Amino acid sequence: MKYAILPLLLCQLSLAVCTMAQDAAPATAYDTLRAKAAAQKADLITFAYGTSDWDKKGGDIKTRTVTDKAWLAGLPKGILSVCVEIPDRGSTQIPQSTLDELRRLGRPIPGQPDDSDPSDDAEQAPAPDAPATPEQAATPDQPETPAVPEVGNPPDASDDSAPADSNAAGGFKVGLTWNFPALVYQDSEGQLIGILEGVDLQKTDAKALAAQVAAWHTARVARDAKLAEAEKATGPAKARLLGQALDALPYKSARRLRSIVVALRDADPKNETGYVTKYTYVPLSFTKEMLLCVAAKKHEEGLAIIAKHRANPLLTPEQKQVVEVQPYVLCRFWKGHEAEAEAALKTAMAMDPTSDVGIGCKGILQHLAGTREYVEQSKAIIAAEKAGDAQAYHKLAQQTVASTFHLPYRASLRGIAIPEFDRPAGSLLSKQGMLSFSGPVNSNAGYKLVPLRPLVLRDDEPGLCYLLASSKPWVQVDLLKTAAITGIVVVNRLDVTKEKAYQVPLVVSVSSDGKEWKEIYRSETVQDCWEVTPPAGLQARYVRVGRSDEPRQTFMLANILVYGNP
Amino acid sequence: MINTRLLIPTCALLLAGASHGAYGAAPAPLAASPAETTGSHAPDADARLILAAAGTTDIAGLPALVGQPKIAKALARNKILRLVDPRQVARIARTPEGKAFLDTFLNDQDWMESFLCSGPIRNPERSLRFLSEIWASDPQGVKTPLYRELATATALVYIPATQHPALKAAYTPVARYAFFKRSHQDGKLHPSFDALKAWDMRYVVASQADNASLAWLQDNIHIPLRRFTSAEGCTGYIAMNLFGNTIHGGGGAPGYHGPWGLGGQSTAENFYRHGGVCGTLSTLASYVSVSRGVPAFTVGQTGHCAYAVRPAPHQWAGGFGGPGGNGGGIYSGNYPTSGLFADSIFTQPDAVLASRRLAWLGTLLKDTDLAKARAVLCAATQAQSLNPESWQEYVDLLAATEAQSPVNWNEVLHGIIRSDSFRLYSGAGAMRLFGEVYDRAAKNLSGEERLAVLVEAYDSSDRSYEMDKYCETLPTTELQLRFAKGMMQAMWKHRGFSLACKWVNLRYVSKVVRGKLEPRPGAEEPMMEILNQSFDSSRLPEGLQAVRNMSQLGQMVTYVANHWDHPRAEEVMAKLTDIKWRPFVSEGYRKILEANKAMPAHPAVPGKLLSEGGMVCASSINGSPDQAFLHGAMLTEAGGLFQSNPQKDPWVTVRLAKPGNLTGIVVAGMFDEPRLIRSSLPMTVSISDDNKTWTTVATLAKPQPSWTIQLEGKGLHARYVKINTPSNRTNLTLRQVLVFGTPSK
Repeated sequence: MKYAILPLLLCQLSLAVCTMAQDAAPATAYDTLRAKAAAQKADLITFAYGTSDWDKKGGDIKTRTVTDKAWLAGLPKGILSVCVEIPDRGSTQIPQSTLDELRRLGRPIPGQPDDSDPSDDAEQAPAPDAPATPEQAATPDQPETPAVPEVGNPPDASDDSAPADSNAAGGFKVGLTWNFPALVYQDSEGQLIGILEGVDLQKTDAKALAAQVAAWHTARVARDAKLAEAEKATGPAKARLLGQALDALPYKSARRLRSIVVALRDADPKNETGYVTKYTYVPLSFTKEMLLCVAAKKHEEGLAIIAKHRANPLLTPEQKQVVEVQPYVLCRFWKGHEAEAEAALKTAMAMDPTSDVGIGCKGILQHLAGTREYVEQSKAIIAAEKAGDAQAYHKLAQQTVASTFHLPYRASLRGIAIPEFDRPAGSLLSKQGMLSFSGPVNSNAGYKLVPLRPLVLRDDEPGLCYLLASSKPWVQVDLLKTAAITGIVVVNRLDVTKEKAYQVPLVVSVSSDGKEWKEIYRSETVQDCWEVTPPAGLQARYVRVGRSDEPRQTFMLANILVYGNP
Repeated sequence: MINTRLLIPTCALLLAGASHGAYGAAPAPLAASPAETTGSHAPDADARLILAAAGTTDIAGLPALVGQPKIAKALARNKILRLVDPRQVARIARTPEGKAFLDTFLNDQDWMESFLCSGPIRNPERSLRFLSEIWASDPQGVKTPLYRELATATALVYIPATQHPALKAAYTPVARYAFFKRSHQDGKLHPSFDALKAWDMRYVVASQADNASLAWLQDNIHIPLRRFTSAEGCTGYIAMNLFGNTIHGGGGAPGYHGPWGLGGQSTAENFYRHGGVCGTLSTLASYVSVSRGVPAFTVGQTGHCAYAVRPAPHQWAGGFGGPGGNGGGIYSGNYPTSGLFADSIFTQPDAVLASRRLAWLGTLLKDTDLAKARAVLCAATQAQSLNPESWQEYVDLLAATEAQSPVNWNEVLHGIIRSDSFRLYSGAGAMRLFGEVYDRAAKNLSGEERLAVLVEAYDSSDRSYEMDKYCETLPTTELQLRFAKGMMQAMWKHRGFSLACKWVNLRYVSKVVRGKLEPRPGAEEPMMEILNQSFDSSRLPEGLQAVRNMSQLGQMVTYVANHWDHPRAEEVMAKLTDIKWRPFVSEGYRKILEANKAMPAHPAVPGKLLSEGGMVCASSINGSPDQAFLHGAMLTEAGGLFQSNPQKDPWVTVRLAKPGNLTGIVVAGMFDEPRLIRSSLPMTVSISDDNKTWTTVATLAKPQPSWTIQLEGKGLHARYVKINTPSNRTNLTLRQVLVFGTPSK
């Protein structure tokens, strides 16, 4: 996608843009039209788009009125229209070196006129005037007379004294959207009625856009009609009318109309209409209610609140879904009710699996299932170790490798892989072998580390075997039958620094019967990876990696890879 | 910054054809491999060429020599082949693409120098492998200068976020390179990206953001460049999600973003849709910049996360309260200093090359001509006195060869103090280097010499770090206090005065006040002088800066009051409690002074007011609502405020400005808070001439706003008046103590 988007967009919309007189007063078209809209009770459409970041024209704050009569003719009466270009270099002075570099590279210089590409100007030249329809001729920004003389506002781009946001694009609040281009529809008081931004706007063709604008216009008119009715009413009746006025608008825009929302709350302090919840509750409001009940151990009260919300027909679909999440918040740590918590997530997810809430429910359900699976897998691995069942052990190892469940230890291995080593001849014998150890393994992290253990024998990724402080610790690989060993690679635990030294002096011994051991390698140096070349013709079934002394620390290895020919 | 790897393979080993038997692998064929693969450009051949040329050139000619293309290329290649484990080079050379890469790379002087001179290389083996992989994926693209810089930066700093077999493919350096190349070709990057070099592209490619997140941001967050420092505003600051989870997770539930996260990877879209706290928001905002190819990274502050964005060199700008704190830049240290430091170094590419080439040569010369090696490395530090890597290599060489030939560490130390990196960016590593050399140099320096070096160092830098550590290296209290005085004076010159003030205060004042430290013998003299000079009225602007913290000032006041017998105590106290500090008296104290206006008038007492200008010393100070600053005011008609800690038998002693024959004493309690009057009773008022033997003149037991004790005609002479409350545990609270009398002549 190109960022010189405005010309494209405008072409797409069959709009033409008239650049305003450069010598006009410093007031901007946006401000002027804003004032005009207020005076004439007209709505205002603003196209806002970033320029110099991506646009070759670069740099200046620009405002223009939209005067394409054909397009304006398709709009309801009483809408003013303006384009706002959002500048990017407001407070940044580009150093000479960068400018030189840009020139050298033949790139446009931000903030300076670009003579090299006149085509943009051509795109922005006014299109031949189309005859205005009679209705359009009556609109306040009547383009029958030449284009509304709103001003362009090209300040000196090198003027650093201007505060970054003040009056950028003539009072158009950049924070209204974070995604340019944007089409903003405001009522005569500047209240947001609707906004279409970024890719959504780019995807919308001219016809659909005109229809959208018409729909916003209709919504605004409907809102005002209800507001006028509400003027005459009091109490909940007034609240109902105010609520209906808000209902006429897109929900997000309606929530932003603070004055109406406050009036609604004042008219209906007990929320008899249900509208107060609809327009004052964000998803977190429901959650906070539940957490207060949990903190006060008033779970039953929480259930009553949920029932009350369920009975409110006015809530938006998202709010209804959030209400169904609440039993989860209430019950997850409530003894004897944990199952209800999970059931609530399933119910809520079923209401709309594609919504944010639905996806979140799915995520938590996966997490819960993953945790259970992880615990089951850990128990099975421990059982296989006890039984010496190598086949089951490696099946479980594959399960760990394939799992995408968020493993806490795996997450900490950012950027850590098995270091590169020269692969010895033969096959990876340890991949079918069995792991055992001299003493107790780390268990203070529950089962979190257990699924990593079988990975020690494989070369997919770092695993972890973590022995608690003990005398002469070792980790043993049983190859199940005697084989010719061509090489042994021992990988240190790499996600730590201090603890890397706990593994030395490292000793590698081999045995054919598990009783008589022969030391074949010893290293005093702390390394990421010890590559052991055994004596030629070595035949062995067991390989032990450990320390022959009495360390007072733990002993941790990521991998023991034994290569050879069976 | 230290890269000890540089020094591990000695020249002798290299010349002998590097043996790596210690690794346990077959050494002979492996050691031979790089030579085989790289043909004529094996490290030993390059070393021979360089040493032969350098042997016949005198020191003055060496800078020109290392600039010769042939020598420069040999130096860079030699450096790379010494930096990277030869077995890694051999591994790369095994594939045809790898061999072709090495042939290209190791014959391209510019590219090798860009690889070596874009900041420290933390993992040379990985970086060379990454570079070979990127090259193999796009040999034509890497010919374009900009994409070659991109390839180099990616190879130098990119760290794949996961090794997970299912996710790995999206996180390879090749994918990273391809992503930014495509983004650039599609016009999605800010035009300033075109001006980046490998060193500042590091800030872009090193981001933890996955490529998919960056692509999502390119499509969904379009904001002008100047909004990049407020991009955190694009989403909400929210501490808890609708499932009741915070960022810390808890109770077996996934954390804040967990419900929407995939395998623990938090995506930009997840952050944008659900918001978060400062860490999330700063991360997202830094991603926004990076997605447009503008350098940015997150910055950790104490209790807060922020981020830094760099729209152009030397223009580090902070977002969300940043920069400040520590972050992921090229050099260690605080931001923005560290960021500016890197900018200052690398925007002088010629100086970088001049310095680094000499440093490489110096390291090579170590075994053949030590004196020359030292001289060349010293020249390297002069060629770009900012360059921390050259400085480090120089110091490392000196340390490694000290046994062979003595080193004048003091001279090196002064070289460091005078270097640009120390003067301008001491926070970004130079102070640490200074420390390393100081430790070596100090052994041969007398106390006076050490003091001179330290004061010079602090005088020329902009920092006040590690003062405690260096102060401890001075053998006597007298020297330590002179160090403190030197610090204070040095700090007057810089904006960091309040830091020095704080340090002096912490070291010499508050610990004494709190009874945690024995008063150092003779400490009052220099301490009083420091305070006297520091709070001189001629230094009002700096002083105002220094006393921003009222509690520090209070501690100083207390310190002086506790040493009121010192001949300069009164002078210093007058300065400390001068009315000109009042602008900094906070609203709370203002209220106290305001409340005193309603103090009931006391009956007339004959004689002059002897207490005004005196000093107040107490068994303890509560510090709130009172302040040591207000104790002196208690001796005036306007009134002040004093409150002790809740304690056994609290007391307060007033030393009169002038001793004399007393005519009366007025004591006012918290007239507006009867509870505090009752808690201060019964009060005993005693007088003394020597602060040792006391005569009780009144016992006040009945609660009332104020008491007036008429003493005229009793012939009582005193310098000290003490008020105490015999009680097991109470606060003594007073608003006013006025002592009237006829001053002695």
